[in-house]
Amino acid sequence: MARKIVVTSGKGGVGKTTIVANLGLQLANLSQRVVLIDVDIGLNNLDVASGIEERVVYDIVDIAEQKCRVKQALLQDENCYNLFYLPTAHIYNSGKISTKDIAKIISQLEVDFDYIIIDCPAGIDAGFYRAIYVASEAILVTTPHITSIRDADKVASILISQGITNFGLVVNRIRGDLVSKGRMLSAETIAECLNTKLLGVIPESDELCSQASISGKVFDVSKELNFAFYTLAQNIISGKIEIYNYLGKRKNKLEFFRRKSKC
Amino acid sequence: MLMTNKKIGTRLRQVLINDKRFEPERLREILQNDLYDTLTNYLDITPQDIFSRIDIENGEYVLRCKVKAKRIKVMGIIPEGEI
Repeated sequence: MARKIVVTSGKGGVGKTTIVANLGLQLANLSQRVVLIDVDIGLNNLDVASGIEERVVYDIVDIAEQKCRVKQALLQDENCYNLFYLPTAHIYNSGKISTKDIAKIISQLEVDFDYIIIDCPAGIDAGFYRAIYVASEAILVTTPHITSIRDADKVASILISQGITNFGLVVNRIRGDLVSKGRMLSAETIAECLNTKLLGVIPESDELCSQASISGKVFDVSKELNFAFYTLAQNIISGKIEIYNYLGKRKNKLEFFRRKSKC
Repeated sequence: MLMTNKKIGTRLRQVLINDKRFEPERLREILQNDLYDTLTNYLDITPQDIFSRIDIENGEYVLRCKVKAKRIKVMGIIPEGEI
C-alpha cells in the first residue's frame, strides 16, 4: 500500500509545488513508484513545474465526472519511468470534485504506487481540507520568514486536530550565509519553535529562481539542490533524519566582489 | 535595522505565543455557537441566552455554561408499537 503524503504550508509561494516535483523525482530515482497529484483546482502549477502541461489530456476533475478512467489521466514522466503525474483542472470549479471523489481516486492508485504525493493548495479553506482528508502523513513547508512560519504553526495545529500527527517540517529557501551571520533563523530553531521534527532543508537557489522564471520547470537545476532533495527523499524512505548541510554553501558573487574591493 | 538571530527567534516566539494566547477565547466562541445549534433543538433560546466562559483551574480547562430558556420544546410523541 502506498504512503499518502500531503505537502502543505498554509502560506502561498513557499515552494510546495517545487518540493512536490523534486521530491517525487528523487523518490522515483530511488526505485520508488511515485505519483504526484495536484489538487490545487484552478491554480494548478505542478504541470508547468514538471514540464508536462502540453501532454495533459484528462485531469482529476474528468475522472470525478467519469469522463475517463484514472489510468487514462495519469502521465508518465518522459525521463523517469517510476514517476507519474495526475494533473488537475486549470479552470476553477471546485464544486465538481468532492473529498469523497479524491478519496476514491486515491484508493485506486494506492495499489500500484509506493508513494502518493499530494500538492495541497495554499490557505486553509475547503481545498486544503480536501487535500489533507486522504493523507496519512504530511510535509509542512515553510521559508525562514516569520509570516510563513506563523502560518505553518496554524496548519500544524489543524493537521493534529484532523488526526494527522505524522508530519515533518521542510525549511525551504534557507540561506546558509545569512544563518551563519545570525541574520536568518536556522532551520533547527524554526523546527524547535514549531515543536515539529525537522525532515529536510532546501537551500535558496539562484539557478532554481532563474529556471522557474524562464521555463517554469523547477527540477534538476543544480547538483547542490538535487542533493538536498535526495537527502530529504532518503529521510522519508528510511525514517532516519539526516539534515543537508546548508551552512556556508551559498556562493554569493556580489559578496566576493565586495570582499575583493576591500582588499 | 539589523537584527541578530537571537532577536529574530524572540520575535518569532512572541508572534506564535500571541496567536495561541487568544485561542481559548476563539474556542469558546466556536463552542458557544455549536452549543446554540444543538440546544435550539430542545430549548426556545436566542444566541444571547447562552453565557459561557473558559477558566483554567489546576492546569485544566473548565468550561462553564449558563443557558436561559423561555420554554422547553415539546419533544414529540413516540408512536405506539415502536417501543
